[in-house]
Amino acid sequence: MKNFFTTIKACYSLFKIKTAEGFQYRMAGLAGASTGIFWGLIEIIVYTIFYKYAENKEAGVMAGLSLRQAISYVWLTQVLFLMQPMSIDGEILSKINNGDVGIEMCRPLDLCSHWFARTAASRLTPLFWRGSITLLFAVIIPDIFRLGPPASLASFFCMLISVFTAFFLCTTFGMWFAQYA
Amino acid sequence: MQQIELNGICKTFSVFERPEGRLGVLRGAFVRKKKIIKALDEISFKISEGELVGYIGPNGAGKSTTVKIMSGILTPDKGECLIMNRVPWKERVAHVSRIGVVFGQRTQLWWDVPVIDSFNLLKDIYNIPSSVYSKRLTELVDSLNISDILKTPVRQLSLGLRMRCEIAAALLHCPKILFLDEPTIGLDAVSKLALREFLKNENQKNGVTMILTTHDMDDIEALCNRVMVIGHGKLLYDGKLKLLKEKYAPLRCIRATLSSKVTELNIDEFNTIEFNVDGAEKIKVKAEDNSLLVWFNPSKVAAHNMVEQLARQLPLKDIVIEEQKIDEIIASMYKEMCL
Repeated sequence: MKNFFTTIKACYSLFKIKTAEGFQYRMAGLAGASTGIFWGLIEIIVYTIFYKYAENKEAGVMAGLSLRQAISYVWLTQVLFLMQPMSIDGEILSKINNGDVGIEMCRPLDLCSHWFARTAASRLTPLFWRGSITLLFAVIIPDIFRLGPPASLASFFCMLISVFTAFFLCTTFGMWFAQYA
Repeated sequence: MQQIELNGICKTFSVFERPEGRLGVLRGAFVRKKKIIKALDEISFKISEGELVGYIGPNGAGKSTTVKIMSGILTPDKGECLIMNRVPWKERVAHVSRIGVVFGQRTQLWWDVPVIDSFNLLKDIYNIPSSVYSKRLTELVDSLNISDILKTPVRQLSLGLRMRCEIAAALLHCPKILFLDEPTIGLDAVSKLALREFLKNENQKNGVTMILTTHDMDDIEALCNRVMVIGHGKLLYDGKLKLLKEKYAPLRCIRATLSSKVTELNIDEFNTIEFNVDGAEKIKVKAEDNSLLVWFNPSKVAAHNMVEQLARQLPLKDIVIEEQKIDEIIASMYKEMCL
């Protein structure tokens, strides 16, 4: 059990240091956000056209989403887009390629949890930059394109929980996927 | 008690070769020749606590492979290895928390973050208690003289400074054994000297066992009294540096500069001189700088005897007695063993 806590502590430390490292790349975040915003706007316009001018105006609603909800959905996908890059930390990949990966074995750490922490951290910071800028944009643009408020406080918390767990799931999936990269 | 014990360690690598010729690329996609390379062939040695051992050999001899096996990165094909009563590759985590490893050509620090952050991370990774950590950190920072650069990201450091930080990082958790794989590669003279001084101190003060692989023979001469020479995966020599020198370079060389022209002496067509110096093994004339090289074996004839003979027969201006350079000894040793 003591061992487990040591590993957790070390991994948290690793996560912190990698996150701090990632926060240096603000411009990359800004560039990513502008791409996301642009793409989101296109999607919203296309949806709006379909919802407004379709022959069967009820079709979208019948599908389960109102225009407002569809727009919110578009923004949420753009905000959380970077949660699932199909790879692990680039530093680990380059270490595998040039052979430095052996040195990782010189650390008294379980490789899987060690790499998990790093991979998680390396995707959190771009996600944070790109996501927060996109989110900010999504709530300040004119009302018709705006991200809708959460349905209720409870559902907002449920969403936070699901985003949080999805983050772990996505990292795990990315690590599994990386073996084919 | 022996701290490190290797017994008959073997490791082979297989390398694939592509067939030659125009269709070689195509054929290589289907058939390829497998070539087995014996990196280590029955390596056995013992090292006791507090020793400082130099591990030398030409490129590709198996030095790094041995270090990797001892640090638990590689698993040997055959043989036993016991380090502090543990088998490195079987109990890797427990093993590596007691050793430190420095690879001169690879970095273990985090590239983009300040040095101190890397150190703090290592504190958590090795689970060092805070009080021990801060004491050890000040000690290392002071003796390696790196207090000014602790807040600088590693990527902005020069090689010499980076290497000092690497050494500090490897010693933070007070390891009992330190493996150094070419730690002085690419360093300038000042950094090299500082590093040697530090390693020597650390060895004497804290009794850290060190195994040092290097191509720099001055490192070996300054630090190690025991050397192991490896070539083609076999251990060729294991013992005192002094004995190695006596065995492979028993001769001393007297370099005598003459005040009169060397060409006026009686020299034959082979550029060797025809006069009698008792006990000289070889004599050579160097006309270009007006000097004479006389080799003798100090275990057979005393130096003063040689000098006296030369002084009686020649107009001497200056005289120097040189030991054969260790680089040359090792080179001739490699050559002799067909490495």
